[in-house]
Amino acid sequence: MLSRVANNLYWMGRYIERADHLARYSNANYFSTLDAPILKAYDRSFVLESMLFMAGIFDMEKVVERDVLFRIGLDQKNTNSILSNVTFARENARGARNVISTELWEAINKYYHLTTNYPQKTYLTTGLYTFNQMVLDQTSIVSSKIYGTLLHDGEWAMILIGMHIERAIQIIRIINSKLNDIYKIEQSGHPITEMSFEWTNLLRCLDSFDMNRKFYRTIPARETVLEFLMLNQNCPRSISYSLKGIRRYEEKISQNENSESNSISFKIRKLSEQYRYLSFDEYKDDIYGLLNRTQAKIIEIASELEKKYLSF
Amino acid sequence: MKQPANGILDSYCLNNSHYDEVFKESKEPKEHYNSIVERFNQLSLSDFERINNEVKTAFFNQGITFAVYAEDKKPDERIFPFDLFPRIIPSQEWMHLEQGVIQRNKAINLFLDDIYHKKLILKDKVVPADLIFSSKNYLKEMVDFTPEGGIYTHISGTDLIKHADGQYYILEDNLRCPSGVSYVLSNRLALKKSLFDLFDKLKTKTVYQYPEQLLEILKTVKPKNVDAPTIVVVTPGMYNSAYFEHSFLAQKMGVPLVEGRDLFVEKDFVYMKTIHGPKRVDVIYRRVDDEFIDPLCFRKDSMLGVPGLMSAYRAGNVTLANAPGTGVADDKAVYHYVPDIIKYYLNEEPILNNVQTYHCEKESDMKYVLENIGKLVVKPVDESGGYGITIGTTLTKDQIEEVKVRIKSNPRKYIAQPIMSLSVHATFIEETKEFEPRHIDLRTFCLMGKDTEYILKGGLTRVALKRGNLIVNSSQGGGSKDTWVLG
Amino acid sequence: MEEFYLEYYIANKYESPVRKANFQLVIIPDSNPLQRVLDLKFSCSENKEIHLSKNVFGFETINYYISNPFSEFWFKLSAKIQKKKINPFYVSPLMPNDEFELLHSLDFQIDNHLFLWDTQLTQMPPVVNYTFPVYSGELQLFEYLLQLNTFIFQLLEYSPESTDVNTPIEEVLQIRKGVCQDYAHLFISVCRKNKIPARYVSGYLSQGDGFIGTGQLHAWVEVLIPELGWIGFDATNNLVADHHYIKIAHGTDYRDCSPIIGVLETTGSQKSIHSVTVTNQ
Repeated sequence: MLSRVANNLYWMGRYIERADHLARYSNANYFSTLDAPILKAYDRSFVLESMLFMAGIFDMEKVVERDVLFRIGLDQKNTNSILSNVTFARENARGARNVISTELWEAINKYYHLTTNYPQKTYLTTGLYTFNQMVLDQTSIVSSKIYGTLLHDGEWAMILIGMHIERAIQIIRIINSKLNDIYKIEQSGHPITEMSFEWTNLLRCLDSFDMNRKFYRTIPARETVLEFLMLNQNCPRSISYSLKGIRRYEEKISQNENSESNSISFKIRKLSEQYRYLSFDEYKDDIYGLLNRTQAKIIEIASELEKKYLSF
Repeated sequence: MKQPANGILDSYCLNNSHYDEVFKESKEPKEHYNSIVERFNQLSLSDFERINNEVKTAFFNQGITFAVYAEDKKPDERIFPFDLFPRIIPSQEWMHLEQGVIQRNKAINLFLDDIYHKKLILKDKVVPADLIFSSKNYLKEMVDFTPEGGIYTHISGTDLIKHADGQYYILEDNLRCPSGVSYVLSNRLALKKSLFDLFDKLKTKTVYQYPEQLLEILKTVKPKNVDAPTIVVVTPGMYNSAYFEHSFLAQKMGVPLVEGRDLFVEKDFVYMKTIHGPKRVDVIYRRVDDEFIDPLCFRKDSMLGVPGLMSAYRAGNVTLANAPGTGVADDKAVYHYVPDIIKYYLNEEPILNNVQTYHCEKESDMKYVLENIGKLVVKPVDESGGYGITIGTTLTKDQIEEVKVRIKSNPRKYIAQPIMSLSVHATFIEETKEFEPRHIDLRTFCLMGKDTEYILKGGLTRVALKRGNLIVNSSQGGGSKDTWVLG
Repeated sequence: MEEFYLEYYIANKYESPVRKANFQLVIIPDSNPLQRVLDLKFSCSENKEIHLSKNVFGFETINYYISNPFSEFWFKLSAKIQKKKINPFYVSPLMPNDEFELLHSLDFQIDNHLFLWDTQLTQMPPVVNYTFPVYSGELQLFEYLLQLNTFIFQLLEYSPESTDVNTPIEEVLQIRKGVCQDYAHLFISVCRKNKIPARYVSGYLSQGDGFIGTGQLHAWVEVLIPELGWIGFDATNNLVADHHYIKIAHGTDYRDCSPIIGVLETTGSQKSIHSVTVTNQ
């Protein structure tokens, strides 16, 4: 596999995953809070600010709804908008056009055309939900083509390692972002007992509400939600699960060459094992610290991976 | 044959001043088009338009597009328009064409070998030495160097037209990186999917072997001492207008598609950078022009090339297809000599006609050209893609004077030819929702390897979609048709 | 026999680190019947095995591919050269007219086409204010070339940094100043106009005697004289090349003999110093 093509596949995976999380976060937050029980703490700008935080946009002087939605969704100049992410995913797919299946290529190309041709006016007035849903649906189609139409070899693993690295990072961002929201609401004097709505919302941002209910059979609360999204080995949108994925696909790429203690394989294995044997009690007072350390570790692993395999 | 009432081809208006491929002067379809015309006439206009739109959407979703880039704007992606009505070539007619194209390309290959070695054709004054040595496409890097198997033009695209007299004429040779073959294959696939029952009516030869044949040809010219060669396609990158074709061919051949920056040369060997380290490359089908392939050797500012590639090539450690320096033979000024070149090397009469060509560098020719510009097509010798061409009948008096000044300032740069009347073919025009006659040409694809050759049965029929337009290039608003060679 | 010891040194410093680079150096003295290379040594900032390639004209080039970042590159070559002493005065066995006839035969021209057809750097402008000596077959070719040598020597004023390696002849003739490349290109151009095969030569010129061209690489011209072979003319010094001229390579013009070409991936500017010393031992 050419390093440049590996680079294309890896980033294709990352951008697809990034657009997916942005769309889900927008939808989950924007719509579920329209009838939120804690209305006071919940004016519209609060939600919009949360969306901006998640999208990494910190330079808006005035939070105007249309502007926020535009910048997150269809702004070409914002390199982290959904449109930009989809465009980059497609450009990367184009650069690796001859190694991916025709089916996968056509799915990504169609996804790109649907996004880029989405009427801006519709999106800003009535189409927010449909647009984000389209992004989520197209991601599902693209994912199914990745799993179903590619040989499960090193090239395939390159896409998936990109997706799992991005997923781990996005989960951390989303948890951080919601913890930030919850902190603000708590500061405004709301009793902690009324916060289940917000914990549900966090689960929804990661499509994990039903899974969580099935697993714990209780109303979502701080402990069960954070334990679930960080440590659960079977929830496909937990940090632990994503780390397992990174590990599995890295092994496929490195072809199990012997791993010394400073190798990428070793670092990935170590981090993944740490999460596997961690219990919530051990870090419940240091959630932010753990999230930040994990994120730093993942970014370190990603940049070493890029250096080892993807530079050309 | 009686046709059903209100067929979509009924409104077709014959234009008797051009050779019509489909219809006789009596407006009846020609023998070999009978069943196809009948089938199209069974379709209602709305059916036809639906199919037409489906095909367009499919091309779009498959990314069979070229992008037009403008600053500060999203690139405008367009499909290369595809006309559903196939062009049909009867088998006898094709045999003649095929022999002619192979003959021509064999002779051109011998010519290249000669002008880079013994130069006998120049010493025998069949071709003027100055014409060759003053050409910027004649490369000193190729002098006295013999490419593997003696093959220069592994892939050539020969453009033909049919004139009002019903005869084929060679329009030009493309010996550098001829493109368009991916459209031939995509067009066939699109037509099979959308109007599959057409294929029951007539038996056409398949085009699907092209990528395998290309791969086989490339294997025949692997460097010595290499058993299983690593073959790659080199592209200038995904912003190149032919990127679709590059990735298409790489994918169908099952070989890596690489860019110059994926390759490096060390100790006269070429390597590609893979995730598990360097891997040697033996045969390169390159779609990058000569002057960009090696910044150490040619253009220093080239970002597309591989420094040291020519040195590795000359050391015999890698094969380039096509060989560098083939452009000297598809120069429009050399075109005129090709019939003599065929006679010189093969001792045969040329099977296919050349269009009469006037060379402005010859005094008598220049005089004729200046006096008859209104009846001639004037072409710069070193441009491709239809740029810089002027057609006499479309010029105003002032424009004629301008052309004259241009020719006089640099006679070597211009040739002129009589205005050939390209044949016309029924083509669906979206604006009028009718089939109308449009000019067409044909690009054939010929592959040459060590002791082997292959010609694609058919080729790319390009159609000028603007009424009366004689230039069929895609950059000038042309489309294409599936081309059937009957078995 | 005369022995020379020569040293070539080049050092490039880069403002920002170079990610990747390819260098090609054409600085190794040629081995030919007139000169022997005895003791060739290289050293380089890159601790890499030296690989020699052959360029289009068969001369050895030193090639480096460097894929790890660096911000300095230097290279040093030293060699001992044995030169055959020659008397740089030639008499052709051919009559002037026979020489002329031969030079104008098509076969001769085709066989020497690389050195007869102009390159970009040897192109004479359409209008020139000077009447260069014309070769008409009245004089022996060698005699004519001596005249031309003197004419160009007198026409131009040697002036370092007045031109660069890409300066066209047109500009050189306007300012009437130049360095050895310009003398050589102009000489070649006049020869080719007169259908005399002429090629560009790069090399080392022995120190001392106050010749122009020491301290750096020198350039002169070789002309094909029937029955005599390729003879060197140095218009910069108005001399015929003798054993003080140590040849590196020849080509159609400067570009075939550039001492160093680098293709670099870097953003900033670079500073380059080089030095040449030739000592008579």
